[in-house]
Amino acid sequence: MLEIKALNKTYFDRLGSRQVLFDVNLAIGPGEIVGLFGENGAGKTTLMKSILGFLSYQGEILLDNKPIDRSNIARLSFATCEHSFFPNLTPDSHAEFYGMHFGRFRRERYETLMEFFELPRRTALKGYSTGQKNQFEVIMALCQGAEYILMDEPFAGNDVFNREDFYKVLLGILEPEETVFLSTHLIEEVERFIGRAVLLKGGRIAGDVSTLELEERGSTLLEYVKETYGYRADRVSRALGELTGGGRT
Amino acid sequence: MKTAENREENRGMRKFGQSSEAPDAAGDRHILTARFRVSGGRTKKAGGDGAMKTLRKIGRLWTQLWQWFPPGYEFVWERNTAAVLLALPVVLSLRYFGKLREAVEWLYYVDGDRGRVLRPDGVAKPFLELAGEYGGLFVPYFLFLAIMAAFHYAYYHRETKSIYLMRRLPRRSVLVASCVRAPLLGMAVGAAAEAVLGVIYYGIYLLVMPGVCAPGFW
Repeated sequence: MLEIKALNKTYFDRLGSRQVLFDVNLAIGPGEIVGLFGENGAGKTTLMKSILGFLSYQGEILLDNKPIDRSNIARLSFATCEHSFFPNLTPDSHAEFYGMHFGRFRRERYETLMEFFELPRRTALKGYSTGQKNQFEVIMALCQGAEYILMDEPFAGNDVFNREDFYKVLLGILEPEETVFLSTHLIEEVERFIGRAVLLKGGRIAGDVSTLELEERGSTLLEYVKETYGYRADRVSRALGELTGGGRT
Repeated sequence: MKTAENREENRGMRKFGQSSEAPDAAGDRHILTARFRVSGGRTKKAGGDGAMKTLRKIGRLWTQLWQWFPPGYEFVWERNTAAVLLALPVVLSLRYFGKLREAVEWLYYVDGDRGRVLRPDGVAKPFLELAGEYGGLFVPYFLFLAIMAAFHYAYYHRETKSIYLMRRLPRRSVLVASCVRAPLLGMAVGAAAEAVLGVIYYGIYLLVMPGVCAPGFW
């Protein structure tokens, strides 16, 4: 179980301080596929980086009741839209690197996924397209041998067919104990894939619902998000109306 | 797909620092994964006398320096710059022999029929006075190595954020080691070069200076 307790995060810079996470409490159990949604600047990336220990924070983050440190960090993997690979190395060199440092690296899964997505294995990653880079980033996160796979907007730049393939492959290869925590803006796409949705608004948890519950209510995830965020569908037309003076003559 | 048996065979035959799969591009050798400890066996080359073996080892070390740098780091420019910054003071320090010659000559004078005679009051210049300034020529080299370590850390934040991967490694030392290994190796080489030069130059100083003129280190 990944537990986040009373997490607060404040950034300090020369302009002063800016708090981005406010008393976040969250628990993610093994085997869950959780979508993390929120507007830009809601704190999604900050939350993920805090879990991984990249940022200092106030509060507590525990993995099976233990703080995350060198002894259990390998149980977490990370795929980010910023990409965390070495651009001058080939995929196979990365597989070698992962195998050397992560004892549970899944070589067979790596070979299968690279073959399935037809990614060249001996080309340096800097020669890949953006979509291919995203795919490789996610592949390595899935093959590290981690139990908790964190993904921060991993599909930015991938075409819709590519993303569809990936969701299907993910559902097919994930093992029961593997947990996915995925932050994305593609609400309607991932709705069929995730089991739970967590909404962040202004650094606070604004919603936490299972997709089963939504189904029972007869609501879609997009409707739930709009409702939670208080999205007003008419705000654009009203703003335009004000700008144009009530309409053209 | 390789069988488990093939993989074992390749691992045993793997040369130090090289992948068991052949690089597919001429420049790929220097961008293979850096190894932080030896894995697999070394292959032995048969034959060759001592000098050739040593030269071959140096040649291999020169091309396999990538292992001392962060994974995928384009190290050639740094390696070559460090080599130049190390060679320059060595070459410039050869001016010491000119100063040594002058210092020795000053101890003598020409006395008519007797020819070149040692001055009765001649005192040899101390070794440090003749050679001390050349130690300072190595400072740019050591400074460059210190800056290299900073470059290596910055590398993990350029183009991609490979720092996220390095900070997730179970062994914390890997990140630090990858940044400082090459600079530390360079510092050791530089310190050894300076020490060897110092010993050689001091040895020559003692050989050529007349003993009665009380040559000393400082």
